[in-house]
Amino acid sequence: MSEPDSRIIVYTCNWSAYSGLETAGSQGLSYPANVHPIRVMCLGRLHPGLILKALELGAAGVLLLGCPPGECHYLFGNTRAEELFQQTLALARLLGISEKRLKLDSLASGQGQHFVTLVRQFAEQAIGESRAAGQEVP
Amino acid sequence: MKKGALIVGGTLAAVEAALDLAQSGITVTLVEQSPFLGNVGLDWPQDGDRGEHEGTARLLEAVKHPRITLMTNTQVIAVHGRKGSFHVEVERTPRFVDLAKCTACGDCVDVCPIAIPDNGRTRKAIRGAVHGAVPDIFAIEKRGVAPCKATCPGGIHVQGYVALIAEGRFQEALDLIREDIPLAGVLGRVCYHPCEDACRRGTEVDQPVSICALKRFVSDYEVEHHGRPVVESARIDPELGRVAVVGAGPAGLTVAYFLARRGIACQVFEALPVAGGMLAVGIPDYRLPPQVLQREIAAIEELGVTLHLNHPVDAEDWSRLQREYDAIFVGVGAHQPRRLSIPGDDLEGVLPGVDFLRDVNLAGIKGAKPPAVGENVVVIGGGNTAIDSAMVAQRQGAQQVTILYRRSRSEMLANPWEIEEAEEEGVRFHFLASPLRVISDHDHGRIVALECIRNALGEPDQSGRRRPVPIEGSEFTIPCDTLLPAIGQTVSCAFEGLDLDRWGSFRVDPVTLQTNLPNVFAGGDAVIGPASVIESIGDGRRAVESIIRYLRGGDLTQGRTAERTDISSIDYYTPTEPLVRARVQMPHIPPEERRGYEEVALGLTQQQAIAEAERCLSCGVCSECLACVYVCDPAAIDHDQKAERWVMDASAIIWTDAAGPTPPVTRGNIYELHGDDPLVASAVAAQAMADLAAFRQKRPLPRWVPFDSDPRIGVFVCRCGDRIGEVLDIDALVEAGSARPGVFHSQDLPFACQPDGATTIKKAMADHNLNQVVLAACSCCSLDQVCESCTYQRVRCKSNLLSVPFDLMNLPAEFVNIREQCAWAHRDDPALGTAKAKRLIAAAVAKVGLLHPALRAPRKVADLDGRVLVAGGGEAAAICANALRAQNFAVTRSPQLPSAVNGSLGRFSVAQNGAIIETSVVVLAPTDEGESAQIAPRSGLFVCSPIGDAELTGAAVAAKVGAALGSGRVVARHNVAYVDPSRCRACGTCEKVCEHLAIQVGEVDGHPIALVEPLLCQGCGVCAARCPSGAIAAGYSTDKQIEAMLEAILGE
Repeated sequence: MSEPDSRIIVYTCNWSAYSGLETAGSQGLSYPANVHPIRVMCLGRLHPGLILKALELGAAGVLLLGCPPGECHYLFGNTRAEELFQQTLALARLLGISEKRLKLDSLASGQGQHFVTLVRQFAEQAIGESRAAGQEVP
Repeated sequence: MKKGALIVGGTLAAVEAALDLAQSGITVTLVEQSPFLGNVGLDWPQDGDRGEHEGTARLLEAVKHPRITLMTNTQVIAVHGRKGSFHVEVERTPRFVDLAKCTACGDCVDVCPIAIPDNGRTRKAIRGAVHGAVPDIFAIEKRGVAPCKATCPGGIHVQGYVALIAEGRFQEALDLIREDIPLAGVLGRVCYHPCEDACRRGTEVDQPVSICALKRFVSDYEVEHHGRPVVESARIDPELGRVAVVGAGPAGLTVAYFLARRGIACQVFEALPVAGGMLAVGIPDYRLPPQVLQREIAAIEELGVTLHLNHPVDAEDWSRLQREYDAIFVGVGAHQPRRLSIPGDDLEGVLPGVDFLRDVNLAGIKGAKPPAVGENVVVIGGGNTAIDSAMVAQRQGAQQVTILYRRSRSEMLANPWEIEEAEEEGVRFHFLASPLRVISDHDHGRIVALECIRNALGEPDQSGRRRPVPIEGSEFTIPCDTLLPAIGQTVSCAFEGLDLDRWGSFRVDPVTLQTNLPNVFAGGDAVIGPASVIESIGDGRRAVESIIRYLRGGDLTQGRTAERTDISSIDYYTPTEPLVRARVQMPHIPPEERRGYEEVALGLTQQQAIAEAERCLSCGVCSECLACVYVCDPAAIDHDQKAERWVMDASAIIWTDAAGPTPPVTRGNIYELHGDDPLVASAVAAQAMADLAAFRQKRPLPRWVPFDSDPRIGVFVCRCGDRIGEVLDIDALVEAGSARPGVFHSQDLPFACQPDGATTIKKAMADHNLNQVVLAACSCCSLDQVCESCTYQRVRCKSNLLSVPFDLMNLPAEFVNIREQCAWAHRDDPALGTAKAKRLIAAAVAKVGLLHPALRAPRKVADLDGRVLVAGGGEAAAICANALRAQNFAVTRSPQLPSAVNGSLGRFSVAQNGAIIETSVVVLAPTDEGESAQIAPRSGLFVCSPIGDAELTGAAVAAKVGAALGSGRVVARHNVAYVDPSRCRACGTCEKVCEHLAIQVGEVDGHPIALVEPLLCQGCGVCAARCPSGAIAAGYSTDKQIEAMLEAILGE
């Protein structure tokens, strides 16, 4: 499905989303090994520069996973993240980068299977897009 | 425990109360009688619910809290004393698994052969916590030693090997048997198997499990598949001592076997031309084929034991053995037949049964002529030797064989099944008759008949059997040309200096088997008189223990007793519906075909053996098969753990539903906590808090290690036994780690979460002068927190590291989870998993190497005083205020809600009726939901909800205030944001975006600047993302750190 060397960055918040990521592994669920997680305390901490930096360095796509609506550990962090992500998408359009290589979603605690579904779908889409753009994927 | 609270029963409410109390500075002990908190008795959320993870996080917080001691497997036996000074007697039952070592990998569960039906599913004898319960450490369910093992003189793990046979694990079963005894094939044929008499299947359901036949089966199975017994050996180390064994019977062979397996050299001296003692010369071949015995003896020789046959030990040898050996075991047996002591007992044609059997057996071995028998053979006696003498005489050509026994059948000492076999083969029995005189043919001096007398049974004698009393005038004669008396044997040997008892047996200490000479031990028939193989083997085992202690200079008696294990009070397991299946009948050669010496009993088939083993009731639940011990990498299992009792002191006791009825003490002094409502839990905690307010301890200052040198990073890669190591190439990860810039040391760890793991890290930090650590294991964050991703092992790992004299949490440490995120998620592609792990480790190294200097500063700490303002007209206000006064807080009461609240925990200033009130904590009690909706949450502000029971609410809020204020100190997180003054333009964006009121534009030295209040900062980093000038560093990871991580992951 995906080239092993087309790397995907998955930013997760420390709370619900990270727990979902962990659960996938603890349940022995398999997902593409090109998915590389980076944890931040809250997705509201990621400004567009940090998201686009991953693409600049050659990531095929960047997936941001935070707490479900209303369940943010910091109460308003996922709202802040949504605002910043919209700015990121706007910048991506300016830069001519396909929006399909970026995605913001949420993941509840313990949702290992959902994590796998999300990253599989996203990895396939993002890698397809980065290829279509004729970009060199490291 | 001094001046603390005791909470009995591990409900969720108990955990809530424990956390409130501990956070308020009170020492708490929480005891739970089951092995797990959160496993039973709790209305636990369904798997996959968010609530489950939150519940687990609360439990783990209790695990982590330094002032809470959790004790599982522990129950209260009695409570003495009164409020303020209870003395509580508690008992901890063994878990059989070491809490510090088990990593909950589950390997043990896979190999455990015991599956107990449990609500439509099955549970193994060793089991883990249900998801979310703590401690996530396995526990063994053991009712006690099963009757079969308790009864076995050799202490064989009977239930264990039967359980393994039921699973078709025949070699494992045999290996287990060999941990306790040599000669499994012999015992499987000739043991008198008291285990079967004790078997509860026999006493309580139908017939006992055919245990002896199962032992024979696994022994035969091995020979069938490997050709010979294969026994694990040890290297003989001459330094450990030299031991001589006199007599190669079952006792002596057992001593040699175990000593050799422990690496101790052994020389065995045997008078006969064959080894095996009575097994070789006392038991006929049709019962025990000589090749079975000899191949098991050969296996003992292969261990490094030297046998010297035809080597009776005479006086000269004896003194030489004493000079040349460190210890001697005497197991010479009891071969001297008792004399009949009647007129004519010395005539030709009279031959003691035991001599007769020996001569027949030796004839088979040496090819000599066996002793001749006449047509009418009479055997005297009621034991196994009598039965075997009769059956052998029949095989040697006798026309009529009669066994004459002075009592009745039920007093016979021979095994009932042997008596039956003799009857099947046509041996006649003459009960209640004693011989008076041997009648001879005067011409030739040969015997022709035996004069006997009939007996009646009188009173029981010392043996408990009824004494035979001759009936006067009842004399009669029976034809007899060969007389084989088999009325017992005595010991025929003596060695200089060794004391004998009045029966001529060697005198030994009943526990240690030590004789009057300290270096000489004795056992088997030579000590107990003619007994059984298994008793001799049991003696051999005990002697080995003594000899090893003797050789090491240890105490021979410590921890040992001659008493049998008392099993009378064990509550054994019985299946509700035991499998209905009759005991297997081992096929035998039909009686009419038994003329030679081929084995009569034919053994079980594989199917029969499994079906028979499945009949076991699993009395003890855990069968002690030790399979878990062998498979456990971290060596966490200890089947020898014992129950402990002690008395602890407590000033207040909270008694929950999980603890059963409250104990009979002055009621009212123990607080009862029913159900699982956290509000109720806090309300009850408030009462105990008031009792213990005087004993609160201040929260300790966080440790901080100055950090002023360049990064010197250590990389530690956990193998998790094999759980990570079997997928990822650990050596490659260690090597790749060491190649990263800033790394000065890189190594693997077997288990990072064990105390040894922390010690190793500490030592490496000292040895290599490291100041930063990257730990690649299953742990995820190095923050001082518990969250929904935490597990028991992760919390334990962090606690161990904190106990290291470095406060690792204050050092730039970064944890990478290579287990869940690499080894387990990418099990199908180890190469890719390893490559990914390398990148994640590189990213962590890059991150710690770039730690912002300001974030290495000590955490902010503030002292709290006890001022509380309780404001508002809600019904709960007065209740809360009283409960807070009971906790010695300085409470100010105001009937109205304040017009303005500024500040936060520890430094509020509240506008009230035009005045300003300074306070540490604010409690607001709105009268209705309208008022309630106006209140914005903030740290240090508590709200008594107007909905619900005011008594409960008021008390519960008082407990939460106690938890916030009681420890007298508040400490900032160590991932708070930092503002770089040189870049801040005081634009106020951060202030607007922070929902936690932690950042405000103020002034420093007359310059406007954004100021972070560390005590309020939650560490989310939202401010850093919005700062237009990049002046704010988010505490957990700065922009530079995230960029470096991206480069490490995407760079290659």
